[in-house]
Amino acid sequence: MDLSTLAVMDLKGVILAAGEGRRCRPLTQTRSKVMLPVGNRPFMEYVIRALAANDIKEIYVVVGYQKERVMDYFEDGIDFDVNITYIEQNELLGTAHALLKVKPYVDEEFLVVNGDNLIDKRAIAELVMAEGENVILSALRRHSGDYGVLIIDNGLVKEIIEKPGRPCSGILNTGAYKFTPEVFDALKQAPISERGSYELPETIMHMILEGVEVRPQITKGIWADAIFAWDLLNANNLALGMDEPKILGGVEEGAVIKGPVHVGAGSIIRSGSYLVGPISIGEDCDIGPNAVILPSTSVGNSAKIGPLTEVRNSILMNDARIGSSSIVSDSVIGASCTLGDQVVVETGDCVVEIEGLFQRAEFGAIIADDVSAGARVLASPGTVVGTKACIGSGAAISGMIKRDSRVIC
Amino acid sequence: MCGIVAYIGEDKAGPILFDTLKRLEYRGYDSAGVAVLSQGSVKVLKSSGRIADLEKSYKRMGSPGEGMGIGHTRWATHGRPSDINAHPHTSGEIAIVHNGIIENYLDLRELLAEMGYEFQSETDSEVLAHLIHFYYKEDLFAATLKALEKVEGSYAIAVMAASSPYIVCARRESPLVLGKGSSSVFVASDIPALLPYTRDVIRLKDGDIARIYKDRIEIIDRSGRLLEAEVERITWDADAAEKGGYTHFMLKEIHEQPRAIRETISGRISEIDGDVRLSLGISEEEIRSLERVSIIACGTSYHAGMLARNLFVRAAGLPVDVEVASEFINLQLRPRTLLLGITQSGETADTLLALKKAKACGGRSLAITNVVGSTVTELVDGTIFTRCGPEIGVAATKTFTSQLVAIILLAIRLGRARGHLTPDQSRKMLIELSKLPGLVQRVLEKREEIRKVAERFSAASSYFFIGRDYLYPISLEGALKMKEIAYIPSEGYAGGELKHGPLALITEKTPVVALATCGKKIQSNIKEVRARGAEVIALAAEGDPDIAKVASLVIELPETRPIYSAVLCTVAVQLLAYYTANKLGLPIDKPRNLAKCVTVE
Repeated sequence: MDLSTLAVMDLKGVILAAGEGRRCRPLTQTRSKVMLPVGNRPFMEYVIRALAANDIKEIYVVVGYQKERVMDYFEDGIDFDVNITYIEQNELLGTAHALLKVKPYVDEEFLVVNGDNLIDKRAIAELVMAEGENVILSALRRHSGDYGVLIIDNGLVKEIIEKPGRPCSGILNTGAYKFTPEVFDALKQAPISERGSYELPETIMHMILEGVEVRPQITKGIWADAIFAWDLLNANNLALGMDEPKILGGVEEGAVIKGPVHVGAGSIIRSGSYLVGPISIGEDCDIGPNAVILPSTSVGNSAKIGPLTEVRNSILMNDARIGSSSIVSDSVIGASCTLGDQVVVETGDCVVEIEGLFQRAEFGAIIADDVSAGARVLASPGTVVGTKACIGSGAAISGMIKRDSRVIC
Repeated sequence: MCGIVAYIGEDKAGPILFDTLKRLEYRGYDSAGVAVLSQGSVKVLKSSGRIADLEKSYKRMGSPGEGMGIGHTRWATHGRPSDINAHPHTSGEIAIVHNGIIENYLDLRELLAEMGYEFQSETDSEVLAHLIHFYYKEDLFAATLKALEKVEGSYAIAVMAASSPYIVCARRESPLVLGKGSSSVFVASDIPALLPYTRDVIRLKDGDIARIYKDRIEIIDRSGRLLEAEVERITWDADAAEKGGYTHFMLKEIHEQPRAIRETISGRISEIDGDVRLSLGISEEEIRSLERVSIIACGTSYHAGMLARNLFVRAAGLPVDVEVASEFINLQLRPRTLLLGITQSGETADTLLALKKAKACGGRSLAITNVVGSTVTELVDGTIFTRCGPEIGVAATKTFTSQLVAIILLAIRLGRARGHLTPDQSRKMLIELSKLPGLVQRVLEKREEIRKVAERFSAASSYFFIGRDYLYPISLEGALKMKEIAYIPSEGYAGGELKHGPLALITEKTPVVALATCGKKIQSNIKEVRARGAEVIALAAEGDPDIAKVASLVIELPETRPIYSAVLCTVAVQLLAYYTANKLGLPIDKPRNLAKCVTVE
């Protein structure tokens, strides 16, 4: 066999990870959306694993906002069996502008995937195998009108309607694409969008109008996005089903574990605790004694949950701490938060203002990083607390609490 | 993280193997070995310790071998590395190197032992060598294939035999890449190691097994089909890949500190008991009977030792002497003194020599180091490992903050054992300690603010750092960093010492960094230097109401206990020195005249 004649290039992957994800604020005040954890891993880790599982090992990650967090976690990619090259997009001018930065690195067919979506290897495989040179991975979903909707005609994408703004069901754009390098010519002529930036869907629309064939590939794999911070809870539930759970840490006698529960190395589940999966507990956590954790909960590394506390359908990030006799459900608790004893987060219907628009939702509280709350704090449904806020003991909180604020009773 | 390499071609294998092994060095290792084909037999050379030493003994043997060989580096995170456990492992004329874990090795070992194989080491890898030997008739490839069928677990292997004209490689769940030269083939665990020799790279896929001749490569997948090797041309630069997006290793390592601290704490604290678990090799009774601690260290590690001086007295009631290792000449150790050596590499010659001298006086000894299996660990009764992973930047960053954390852990352990700390006091300290990684992250997020300050003062011809109590050693460390990488003459002083001399050097052109997170006394020192017209950059706790009135610039750090604020101030001064050097365009990772590990006296 003569090796010199065989110069087959592997398919390369591009991950767009430069944006903040403003609608997930305040959780994105300290990290970009790609680093928000579901099932105890950042969104982008699922993307990288899905690419790696399809033998896409050469990965270019476009970073910008809070890039250090991304680089510190993924490093050169060796732990994920891929090679990562980071490309900086310092001016946040949209996804089309981001993709143009990758031009010097790819000269054959390649994939583009949003770093802030949950995606599995099957969905990526479908995109890899899809016919046609320019393909949009799409999904059939009912949704609230916050995605781009594809209009299909004769097996080709005829139009992309960005964010129709009303609930509809249809074929939506997942933000994962297969392109040939010709896309870069189109990117240079990308029209500026309503958001004042250069976005990929507008560019693709422009290509379609120019007569380029773009095909949809409807996925049967897993794909999920979190538009708002509380959507993380759904994505978390999906993500918890994607990994095989293992008990690596210690479980004391008298603790009960039911269903798929993952306990990371160095963690301890103390006596009398009752855990019902799907749950993922990270490394070096200290749970209980007599703590109750109910389904669809992820607990990050080095987190602590005190005695007689109940946590349900929630995400606790690394180093979060909940005292004794507290109740937390349908909530996201940021990294290094400390909640005191007898803290109660109520859950229910609420209306939340995000980026100037009012959104109807149902959740408990969204608490950003480094928040500290004293004892007997009561949070109403839909409470959103900004980074490093400090809530005094006995306070009843609701609505939006800004970054760095202090709440006294 | 282990690394494997192999070579087959026209050139002498030995020097190429050593060179590629050194390129895997940045991943860290504690032992290494090579096997080369030499006059019809396989010669193995392996030992714990440095690759450079192994290479020296190779040269002393007359650099044996022809154009075929395999090599290995091992980085133990658990268990003691030794010459015998180092790779390659041999069985008859077969030699192998292996990464990964053979899960069913106990069963296989039993089986092979029954068939009369004798085991030299306790590694799972040796099983594989014997198993291949068992199947080996004439065809090394077929034998390896059969052996791997019996194996459960993960592996990347390279196999050679004296009577085989080719090398066999295979991988499952562990990385392995091949590099194709003009009439040679290179094998390594990662691509950067190959780049000096070739840019044409073939990635083995999971489950692939390859037969490698010097001029061709045959790859067979797990279903037995012959595959076409997909050659990929590497266009990127090795150096940049290792830095994972950062411009310098130092900046990368500064950012690795939350993780390094978390790892160093991990599994060692129990809040519920209010105690720390460390295997010190010293009984509780001996700890109770201690009267003194003597610390021996050099450079940055010496500053870590100085932090222990105040801490050990307060937490454990133990007075401390700290000695620069090279000045540890005439000190007579009193009885019931605990000796503590601090060395990042575990190989610092001055520290080792001083430890040996002191041990001769008797007494118990401990070491704090980052390298498992380093020489220092053999000298002492117990070792506390900082779990930072290898540090490449010459200026110590993550290893220093992890040393501080290790010292804090030791102080609490000693304090608890001696009854000097109550369980509740130490529980409260441990709760705060577990928050430290998150607080360090918050300091890192101040990077832009610190960068601006650094750039504003980068033209300064000298710098002063002042601090009191726990922050005095940090002021020395800040000055050292500024000297090491920014080449700016800098002085670290105890706040109260300024007026006894150095104040004469302070002019309006001397920026003074005041570490002011710990107590109010420093404010009067700030006023002293402000009165001489100097600009004062204060590192202060968030919400400190008075500091802005005295300092010219304030960088706010999260509020925490004084001892932990020493760690936060360290991170801030590291960033300050880094951005100053960066602005000046200096070679930050390799400052002039300095080496990472000083193994000469």
